[in-house]
Amino acid sequence: MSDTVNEQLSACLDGELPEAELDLLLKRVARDQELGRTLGRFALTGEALRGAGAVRASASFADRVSAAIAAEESITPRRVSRINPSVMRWLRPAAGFAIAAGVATVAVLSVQTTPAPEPELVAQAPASVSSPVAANDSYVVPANTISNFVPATRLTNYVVAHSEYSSPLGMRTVLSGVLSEEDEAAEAAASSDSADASSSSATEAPRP
Amino acid sequence: MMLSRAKNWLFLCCLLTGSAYAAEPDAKQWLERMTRALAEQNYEGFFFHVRDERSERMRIIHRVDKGNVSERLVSLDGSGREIIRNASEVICYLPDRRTVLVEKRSERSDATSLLGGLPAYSQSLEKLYEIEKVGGVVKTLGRKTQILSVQPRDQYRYGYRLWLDQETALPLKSQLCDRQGRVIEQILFSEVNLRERIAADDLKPAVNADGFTWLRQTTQPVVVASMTVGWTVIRLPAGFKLTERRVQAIAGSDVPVRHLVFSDGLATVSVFIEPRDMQAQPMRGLTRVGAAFAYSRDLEGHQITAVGEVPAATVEAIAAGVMRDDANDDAAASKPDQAASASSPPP
Repeated sequence: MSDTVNEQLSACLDGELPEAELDLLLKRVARDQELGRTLGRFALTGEALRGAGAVRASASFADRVSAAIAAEESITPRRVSRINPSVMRWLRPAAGFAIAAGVATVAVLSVQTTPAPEPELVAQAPASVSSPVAANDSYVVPANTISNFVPATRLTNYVVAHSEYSSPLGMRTVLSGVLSEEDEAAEAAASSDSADASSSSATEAPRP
Repeated sequence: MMLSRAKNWLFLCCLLTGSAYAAEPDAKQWLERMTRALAEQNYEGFFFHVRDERSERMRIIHRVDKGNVSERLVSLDGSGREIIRNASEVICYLPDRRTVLVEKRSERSDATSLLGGLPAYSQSLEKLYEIEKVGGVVKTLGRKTQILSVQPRDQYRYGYRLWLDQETALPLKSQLCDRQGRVIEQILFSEVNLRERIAADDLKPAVNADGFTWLRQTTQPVVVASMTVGWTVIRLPAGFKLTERRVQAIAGSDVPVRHLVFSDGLATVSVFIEPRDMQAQPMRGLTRVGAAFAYSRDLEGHQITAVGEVPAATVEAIAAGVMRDDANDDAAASKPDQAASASSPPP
């Protein structure tokens, strides 16, 4: 296989291959099984590298991020996520997803984080809801009612046990929440955690 | 372009109220396709979990082997936490707390693991959510996607905006939204690899948990019929129905916990009821874990906690509605002496 093709493959996975060349390359991939396998290897190598840690954005990537932010909806962007530029384009499913190597790499570029609303969202009037609890639901949840009393680990237990019953989307939301749970919540609960720890110490078990 | 579409869509959302529109059959089919795709395909990839001003990069590996689904979710920034689900357990590695939680999965989810939690589409779901396609096929960042909107008709549940890959129906971008369409959380895939097979080794944790505290369920839950009754929830928010009652062990506790599950067909809320540890502070009030809320209160010597990926109002309303069911009193299964000393009048 020629170095040119290897370079094209590499550039393709780095998102730096011009559109026209990408089309040509993908047509070749569809025809050429060996090329497909190489592409699979490249994808895996890239994955291994990415797994190692640092995420870097190329200059052209930064430009695209800026452009995308400028063009996005008018909600104020607060922060630009650093997104791995390694796979900037979708590989067109010219050969479907059954590329010879069994690896089809697809990617989305998304850049905007949108500020999430605070619990004020519950402050709205119950409106025309036919809910049986609507009648007494005109309360507001002030920020300071967020309690520190729930021992963090206990709550995590509940959330994980709950996730089993969530819809697939809900489950992803719930479990991602557990993973990204802010440490301050854990720290805030640290004092009550000690009580929790003493009550649960009997159940501690060393790793089997 | 897509961006102006999005604006139009937002505008439309403001105009549309809860009138009884039936979901387009096609939109429902998209949602069902997506649900199946999420469960049935082998894939791995990276996504950004974005909430408030935080963005965290995560790795997901989803493996289906002989009908058994296993999944590994890894936080790549910060905490290094991992969650590994398989047919029998959910294991949470929390290196920042030097703790590992092991939750046994229920028989029920074993039986339905392949399609676990498939929402049931029905007229009643359409009463609660407006499910529709937004525009035609749009090319989102180089890939053909269909935007799907699942809009709640009241404030007791969240909705979704989903960018579904036309070919695979996997959600490449999903937004959890409140009733006003404000984004609460986003999951943005930067990379998805569909695979023929995924090696079992890919499901192994990267965390070295030596010396961590392992919290397991030490007792098998004693499933006695009388323990699953005795509590009920009154005045449920519209559309929520009891779908599951169980008694389960929770890691780190030797007391069986009652677990009631309420679902509106898409959103779920769990209610956990357990005898209170009188040495510990009772848990009270609202807590947030990611986009999920939990609301705790103590009632007649028991600790009540409602948890769900729903607005705060919903967990609070459901927790507030928990009461002893005198018709099915199960006092024998609890500790009446504690109940007597610790009962506090409901607020």
